Amino acid sequence: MSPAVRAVAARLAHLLVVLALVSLAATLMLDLTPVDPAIVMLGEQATPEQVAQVHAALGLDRPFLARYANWVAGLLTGDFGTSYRTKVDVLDAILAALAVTGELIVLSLLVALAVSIPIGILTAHHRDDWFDRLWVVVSSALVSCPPFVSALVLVFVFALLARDWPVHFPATGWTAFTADPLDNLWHAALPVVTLALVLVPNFSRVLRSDLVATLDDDFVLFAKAKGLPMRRVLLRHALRPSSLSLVTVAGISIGQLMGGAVVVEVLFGLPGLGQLLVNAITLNDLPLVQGAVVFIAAVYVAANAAVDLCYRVLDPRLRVAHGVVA
Amino acid sequence: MTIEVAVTAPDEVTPAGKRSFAVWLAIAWVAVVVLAAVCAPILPLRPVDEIVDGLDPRLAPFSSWTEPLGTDSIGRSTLSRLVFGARQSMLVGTVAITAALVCGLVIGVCAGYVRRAVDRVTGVVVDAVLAIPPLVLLLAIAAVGRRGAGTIALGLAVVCTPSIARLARAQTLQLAARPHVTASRSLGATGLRIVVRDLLPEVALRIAPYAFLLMAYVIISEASLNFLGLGVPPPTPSWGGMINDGRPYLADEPWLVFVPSLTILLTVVSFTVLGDRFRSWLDEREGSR
Repeated sequence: MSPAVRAVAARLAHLLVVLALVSLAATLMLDLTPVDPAIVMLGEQATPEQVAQVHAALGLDRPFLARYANWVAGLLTGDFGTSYRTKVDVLDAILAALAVTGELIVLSLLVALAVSIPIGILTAHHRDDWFDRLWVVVSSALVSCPPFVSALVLVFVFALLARDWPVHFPATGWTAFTADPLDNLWHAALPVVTLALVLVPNFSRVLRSDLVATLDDDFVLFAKAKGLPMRRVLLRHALRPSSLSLVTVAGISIGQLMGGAVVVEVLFGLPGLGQLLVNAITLNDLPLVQGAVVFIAAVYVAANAAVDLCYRVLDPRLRVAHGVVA
Repeated sequence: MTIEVAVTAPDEVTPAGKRSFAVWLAIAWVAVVVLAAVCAPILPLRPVDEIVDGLDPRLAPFSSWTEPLGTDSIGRSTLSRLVFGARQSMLVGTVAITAALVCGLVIGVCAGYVRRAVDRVTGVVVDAVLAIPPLVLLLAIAAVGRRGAGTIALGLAVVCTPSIARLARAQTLQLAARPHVTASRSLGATGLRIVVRDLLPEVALRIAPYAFLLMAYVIISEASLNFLGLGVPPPTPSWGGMINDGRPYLADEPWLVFVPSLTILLTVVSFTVLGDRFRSWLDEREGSR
């Protein structure tokens, strides 16, 4: 086995063990919660016979490991179970919600990159300039701002104060992209900006520090000495070798976005995964909670693994170093 | 909003003189919040549930002498709800972080010193916990437990432990190679003695700055949970809950939302500034050796 294949295999094995633990914990949730699913489904007046009947139907009278095996077998065949409340298929509900959350995540990553790459380049090129110093202060304030606070400020300014302005954004609501793409983007605007604000300080700081290091390299000096315009040196020569950490951070931030999306979706009333999760928790709808948690964890872990592997593709030096170690 | 963000070091080193002003402000603000939180029951404040007589609900801040921060959506004192909210937030934060520090240090130092199987097993468990985005894990724990401060503190401790364990493990690996550890071992010290006497105190000191950064993170998370209505049940005051209560009035009485928001923001920024300062002080101390 070549070292590269072995590294990928080790990564996959690790991923499987982690997911097994996460699903085990998710099954355990049912045993730990003080709420009886039968009561959730039947209401407080349920007779003991009815409760026992529901327990048998759900397989709750079986031992823990049997239930776990059963649930995991279901997961592997795409059967995430059915909601206690609405009786809909959990996987269907998750996939429908994922369309919204996925769009939010992709758009906010794009917006965050579009904002932070120019800022990163500017602050690295004009190091210790007024803008660089100002950005240190602005970005540390942004980092400390919880998403629900920045969202409320955005709603206050661009949806409420702007009521009488020619352009203003909706404070709540959602239109599917397939129904009306323009209206969809209109509704996505404020949530996406809120999520992007969480990422921009981190992205721009990472790019700045890598770029500062690259700009001191000999090949940059050489490019400048050749008489190339600074714009070309920055964009064509220095940017690519400086973008590795940015790629990693962008990949890792998918998990961060999943968390941020919960708050943003609830606040803007968007029918995404976060909204689904919070509603399921409020209604004690455990199959939905378990399904959503395991699904999010799987996406997050897979994204991290993908970033890890991408990293090795992007930077040949890492492959060699890893090859020697492995 | 992940722990990773809070923990990454700023590369920019601002001159010490410029920094100290911000540090003093941060110390002052944290002192005010902590004092208010500790002394809340003995301060001359109105009870949090009492509707203030003779004042309108949703009164703006600085418009009345008796209620300097105004009244909330149904006419309760904003100031006393803010102070008791601080008490709630600081209590949950301190309990969660103390628990996370103790668990994280023990796991990390053992994994880093004993290595082998212990390291493998804890490594996988830590990765499994980190595999769930922090806020989602927190929500899952809130879903299982009863609504209340205890569940939030437990959830936050679980969320914070893995990152402390990772940091502690990395520090232990470095320290275990130092001459004084080798010296202890050759003098016949047991593994337990080396862990307790030689490793734990130094690792704990190096991890300490992260406690401040985690505190900032914990305050945001606790406020998020309460904002989502999955934290402490009303009428117990909490910062996140106050923001949620004020939301319907955002258009006409924005202070209901922005007074608690500003309080959260200032507190989070202050803890971050303190953590950063503490860390660069430790780095200087390390560098001067």
